[in-house]
Amino acid sequence: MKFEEIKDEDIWILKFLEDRFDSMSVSDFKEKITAEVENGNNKILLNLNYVDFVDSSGLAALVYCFKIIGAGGKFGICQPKDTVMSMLKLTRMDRVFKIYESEEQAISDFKK
Amino acid sequence: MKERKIKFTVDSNLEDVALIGTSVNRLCTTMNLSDVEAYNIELCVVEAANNCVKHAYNFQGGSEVEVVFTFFNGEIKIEICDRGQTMQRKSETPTLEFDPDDMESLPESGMGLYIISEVMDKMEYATSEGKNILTMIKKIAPVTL
Repeated sequence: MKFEEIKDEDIWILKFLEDRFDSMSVSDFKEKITAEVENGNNKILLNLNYVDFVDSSGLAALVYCFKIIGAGGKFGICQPKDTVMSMLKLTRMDRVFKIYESEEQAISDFKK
Repeated sequence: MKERKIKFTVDSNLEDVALIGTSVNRLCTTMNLSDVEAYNIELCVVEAANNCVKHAYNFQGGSEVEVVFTFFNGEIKIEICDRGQTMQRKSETPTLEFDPDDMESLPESGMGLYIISEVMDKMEYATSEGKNILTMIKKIAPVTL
Protein backbone atom coordinates (compact mmCIF):
# COMPACT_ATOMS: atom_id res chain seq x y z
CA MET A 1 0.00 0.00 0.00
CA LYS A 2 1.31 3.45 -0.90
CA PHE A 3 1.15 6.33 1.54
CA GLU A 4 2.38 9.90 1.74
CA GLU A 5 3.69 10.83 5.18
CA ILE A 6 3.69 14.39 6.47
CA LYS A 7 4.72 15.74 9.87
CA ASP A 8 3.12 18.88 11.24
CA GLU A 9 4.86 19.51 14.57
CA ASP A 10 3.98 16.40 16.59
CA ILE A 11 1.09 15.32 14.33
CA TRP A 12 1.80 12.47 11.93
CA ILE A 13 -0.40 12.64 8.84
CA LEU A 14 -0.75 9.55 6.71
CA LYS A 15 -2.32 10.08 3.32
CA PHE A 16 -3.53 6.95 1.54
CA LEU A 17 -2.52 7.07 -2.13
CA GLU A 18 -4.51 4.04 -3.29
CA ASP A 19 -8.24 3.76 -3.81
CA ARG A 20 -8.86 0.52 -1.90
CA PHE A 21 -8.25 -0.12 1.78
CA ASP A 22 -9.14 -3.79 2.15
CA SER A 23 -7.85 -7.16 3.28
CA MET A 24 -4.91 -6.86 0.86
CA SER A 25 -3.57 -3.66 2.35
CA VAL A 26 -4.25 -3.82 6.09
CA SER A 27 -0.99 -5.61 6.99
CA ASP A 28 1.17 -2.78 5.58
CA PHE A 29 -0.97 -0.23 7.35
CA LYS A 30 -0.92 -1.95 10.73
CA GLU A 31 2.86 -2.45 10.56
CA LYS A 32 3.37 1.22 9.80
CA ILE A 33 1.04 2.40 12.55
CA THR A 34 2.55 0.03 15.11
CA ALA A 35 6.07 1.28 14.30
CA GLU A 36 5.01 4.93 14.59
CA VAL A 37 3.29 4.43 17.93
CA GLU A 38 6.29 2.49 19.25
CA ASN A 39 8.44 5.46 18.21
CA GLY A 40 6.35 7.69 20.42
CA ASN A 41 3.97 9.20 17.86
CA ASN A 42 0.52 9.20 19.35
CA LYS A 43 -1.16 11.92 17.30
CA ILE A 44 -2.15 10.30 14.03
CA LEU A 45 -4.36 11.72 11.30
CA LEU A 46 -5.42 9.59 8.34
CA ASN A 47 -6.31 11.36 5.11
CA LEU A 48 -8.71 9.16 3.12
CA ASN A 49 -9.28 11.61 0.27
CA TYR A 50 -8.23 9.11 -2.42
CA VAL A 51 -9.94 6.07 -0.90
CA ASP A 52 -13.09 4.86 -2.67
CA PHE A 53 -13.47 1.52 -0.95
CA VAL A 54 -13.03 0.30 2.63
CA ASP A 55 -14.19 -3.18 3.65
CA SER A 56 -14.57 -4.65 7.15
CA SER A 57 -10.86 -5.59 7.19
CA GLY A 58 -9.96 -1.96 6.56
CA LEU A 59 -12.44 -0.84 9.18
CA ALA A 60 -10.98 -3.30 11.70
CA ALA A 61 -7.52 -1.86 10.96
CA LEU A 62 -8.83 1.63 11.77
CA VAL A 63 -10.17 0.29 15.08
CA TYR A 64 -6.77 -1.30 15.75
CA CYS A 65 -5.11 2.06 15.08
CA PHE A 66 -7.53 3.85 17.39
CA LYS A 67 -6.91 1.32 20.17
CA ILE A 68 -3.12 1.21 19.87
CA ILE A 69 -2.90 5.00 20.12
CA GLY A 70 -5.06 4.82 23.22
CA ALA A 71 -6.83 7.40 25.28
CA GLY A 72 -3.64 9.41 25.82
CA GLY A 73 -3.19 10.15 22.11
CA LYS A 74 -5.20 11.62 19.27
CA PHE A 75 -6.62 9.83 16.27
CA GLY A 76 -8.71 11.19 13.44
CA ILE A 77 -9.83 10.66 9.89
CA CYS A 78 -10.19 13.44 7.35
CA GLN A 79 -11.82 13.84 3.95
CA PRO A 80 -13.63 10.50 3.71
CA LYS A 81 -15.70 10.14 0.54
CA ASP A 82 -19.47 9.66 0.75
CA THR A 83 -19.06 5.94 0.10
CA VAL A 84 -16.61 5.45 2.95
CA MET A 85 -18.65 7.70 5.22
CA SER A 86 -21.73 5.57 4.54
CA MET A 87 -19.83 2.50 5.75
CA LEU A 88 -18.69 4.30 8.91
CA LYS A 89 -22.31 5.26 9.61
CA LEU A 90 -23.61 1.77 8.82
CA THR A 91 -21.28 0.29 11.45
CA ARG A 92 -21.74 3.26 13.86
CA MET A 93 -18.00 3.91 13.76
CA ASP A 94 -18.81 7.54 12.92
CA ARG A 95 -19.64 7.81 16.64
CA VAL A 96 -16.25 6.40 17.60
CA PHE A 97 -13.72 8.18 15.37
CA LYS A 98 -13.18 11.91 15.05
CA ILE A 99 -14.00 12.68 11.43
CA TYR A 100 -13.05 15.97 9.75
CA GLU A 101 -14.05 17.49 6.44
CA SER A 102 -10.56 18.87 5.80
CA GLU A 103 -6.96 18.26 6.84
CA GLU A 104 -6.65 21.86 8.04
CA GLN A 105 -9.69 21.50 10.29
CA ALA A 106 -8.27 18.30 11.77
CA ILE A 107 -4.82 19.77 12.39
CA SER A 108 -6.35 22.81 14.05
CA ASP A 109 -8.38 20.58 16.37
CA PHE A 110 -5.38 18.33 17.13
CA LYS A 111 -3.37 21.40 18.22
CA LYS A 112 -5.98 22.60 20.73
CA MET B 1 -39.39 -7.99 -18.22
CA LYS B 2 -36.67 -10.46 -19.14
CA GLU B 3 -34.31 -11.73 -16.48
CA ARG B 4 -30.70 -10.58 -16.97
CA LYS B 5 -27.93 -12.72 -15.58
CA ILE B 6 -24.14 -12.78 -15.55
CA LYS B 7 -21.89 -15.39 -14.00
CA PHE B 8 -18.19 -15.02 -13.33
CA THR B 9 -15.51 -16.89 -11.47
CA VAL B 10 -12.24 -15.93 -9.79
CA ASP B 11 -9.50 -17.86 -8.07
CA SER B 12 -9.83 -18.26 -4.29
CA ASN B 13 -7.34 -15.57 -3.29
CA LEU B 14 -7.92 -12.23 -1.57
CA GLU B 15 -6.25 -10.27 -4.36
CA ASP B 16 -8.85 -11.38 -6.89
CA VAL B 17 -11.77 -10.50 -4.60
CA ALA B 18 -11.30 -6.88 -5.68
CA LEU B 19 -12.03 -7.97 -9.28
CA ILE B 20 -15.40 -9.30 -8.18
CA GLY B 21 -16.11 -6.14 -6.22
CA THR B 22 -15.32 -3.66 -8.97
CA SER B 23 -17.25 -5.73 -11.53
CA VAL B 24 -20.36 -5.81 -9.35
CA ASN B 25 -20.06 -2.09 -8.64
CA ARG B 26 -20.00 -1.39 -12.37
CA LEU B 27 -23.05 -3.60 -12.94
CA CYS B 28 -24.89 -1.66 -10.24
CA THR B 29 -24.09 1.72 -11.76
CA THR B 30 -25.57 0.57 -15.07
CA MET B 31 -28.81 0.09 -13.12
CA ASN B 32 -28.83 3.75 -12.13
CA LEU B 33 -27.87 3.05 -8.53
CA SER B 34 -26.06 5.91 -6.78
CA ASP B 35 -22.35 5.67 -5.94
CA VAL B 36 -23.21 4.92 -2.31
CA GLU B 37 -25.78 2.23 -3.21
CA ALA B 38 -23.35 0.59 -5.64
CA TYR B 39 -20.59 0.77 -3.02
CA ASN B 40 -22.81 -0.90 -0.41
CA ILE B 41 -23.60 -3.79 -2.74
CA GLU B 42 -19.93 -4.10 -3.73
CA LEU B 43 -19.08 -4.15 -0.02
CA CYS B 44 -21.46 -7.06 0.64
CA VAL B 45 -20.04 -9.03 -2.28
CA VAL B 46 -16.47 -8.42 -1.12
CA GLU B 47 -17.33 -9.46 2.45
CA ALA B 48 -18.98 -12.66 1.22
CA ALA B 49 -16.13 -13.51 -1.16
CA ASN B 50 -13.54 -12.77 1.54
CA ASN B 51 -15.36 -15.26 3.77
CA CYS B 52 -15.08 -17.90 1.02
CA VAL B 53 -11.32 -17.35 0.72
CA LYS B 54 -10.67 -17.11 4.46
CA HIS B 55 -13.07 -19.66 5.93
CA ALA B 56 -14.22 -22.02 3.16
CA TYR B 57 -10.79 -22.34 1.53
CA ASN B 58 -8.59 -21.39 4.52
CA PHE B 59 -6.60 -18.89 2.37
CA GLN B 60 -5.65 -21.58 -0.14
CA GLY B 61 -5.71 -20.45 -3.78
CA GLY B 62 -6.43 -22.76 -6.68
CA SER B 63 -10.16 -23.17 -6.10
CA GLU B 64 -13.07 -21.21 -7.49
CA VAL B 65 -15.26 -18.50 -6.06
CA GLU B 66 -18.27 -18.12 -8.33
CA VAL B 67 -20.55 -15.09 -8.47
CA VAL B 68 -23.97 -15.16 -10.12
CA PHE B 69 -25.52 -11.72 -10.52
CA THR B 70 -29.17 -11.66 -11.55
CA PHE B 71 -31.44 -8.70 -12.15
CA PHE B 72 -35.16 -9.20 -12.50
CA ASN B 73 -38.22 -7.09 -11.76
CA GLY B 74 -36.63 -4.51 -9.47
CA GLU B 75 -34.56 -7.02 -7.56
CA ILE B 76 -30.85 -7.79 -7.59
CA LYS B 77 -29.94 -11.30 -6.55
CA ILE B 78 -26.28 -12.16 -5.97
CA GLU B 79 -25.12 -15.68 -5.23
CA ILE B 80 -21.59 -16.24 -3.93
CA CYS B 81 -20.61 -19.88 -4.29
CA ASP B 82 -17.72 -22.03 -3.14
CA ARG B 83 -16.94 -25.73 -2.73
CA GLY B 84 -14.86 -25.38 0.44
CA GLN B 85 -15.65 -25.91 4.09
CA THR B 86 -19.27 -25.16 4.97
CA MET B 87 -19.84 -22.28 7.39
CA GLN B 88 -21.51 -23.04 10.70
CA ARG B 89 -25.07 -21.79 10.43
CA LYS B 90 -26.34 -19.30 12.94
CA SER B 91 -30.05 -18.69 12.97
CA GLU B 92 -29.97 -15.30 14.66
CA THR B 93 -29.42 -12.06 12.76
CA PRO B 94 -25.80 -10.86 13.07
CA THR B 95 -25.36 -7.95 15.46
CA LEU B 96 -22.62 -5.43 16.13
CA GLU B 97 -22.66 -4.66 19.82
CA PHE B 98 -20.28 -2.10 21.28
CA ASP B 99 -20.18 1.03 23.37
CA PRO B 100 -18.72 3.91 21.30
CA ASP B 101 -17.27 5.38 24.52
CA ASP B 102 -15.60 2.15 25.61
CA MET B 103 -12.49 1.55 23.52
CA GLU B 104 -12.08 -2.04 24.68
CA SER B 105 -15.56 -2.97 23.45
CA LEU B 106 -14.83 -1.98 19.84
CA PRO B 107 -14.82 -4.98 17.49
CA GLU B 108 -11.84 -5.86 15.28
CA SER B 109 -13.52 -8.77 13.50
CA GLY B 110 -16.89 -10.28 12.71
CA MET B 111 -18.32 -7.20 11.01
CA GLY B 112 -18.79 -8.66 7.51
CA LEU B 113 -22.01 -10.59 8.06
CA TYR B 114 -23.46 -7.70 10.05
CA ILE B 115 -22.81 -5.36 7.10
CA ILE B 116 -24.47 -7.78 4.68
CA SER B 117 -27.52 -8.16 6.90
CA GLU B 118 -27.87 -4.38 7.21
CA VAL B 119 -27.48 -3.59 3.51
CA MET B 120 -29.37 -6.47 1.95
CA ASP B 121 -33.10 -7.15 2.16
CA LYS B 122 -32.53 -10.88 2.42
CA MET B 123 -29.56 -13.16 3.10
CA GLU B 124 -29.62 -16.94 2.99
CA TYR B 125 -26.91 -19.60 3.23
CA ALA B 126 -27.38 -23.11 1.91
CA THR B 127 -25.32 -26.12 0.89
CA SER B 128 -26.22 -28.50 -1.89
CA GLU B 129 -24.11 -31.31 -3.34
CA GLY B 130 -20.92 -29.85 -1.84
CA LYS B 131 -21.60 -26.34 -3.08
CA ASN B 132 -22.06 -23.57 -0.50
CA ILE B 133 -24.21 -20.71 -1.71
CA LEU B 134 -24.73 -17.38 0.03
CA THR B 135 -27.72 -15.70 -1.62
CA MET B 136 -28.20 -11.97 -1.12
CA ILE B 137 -31.20 -10.03 -2.40
CA LYS B 138 -31.60 -6.28 -2.70
CA LYS B 139 -34.71 -4.56 -3.95
CA ILE B 140 -34.09 -1.53 -6.15
CA ALA B 141 -36.17 0.82 -8.25
CA PRO B 142 -37.24 -0.82 -11.53
CA VAL B 143 -35.01 0.04 -14.46
CA THR B 144 -35.04 -0.92 -18.13
CA LEU B 145 -31.80 -2.45 -19.36
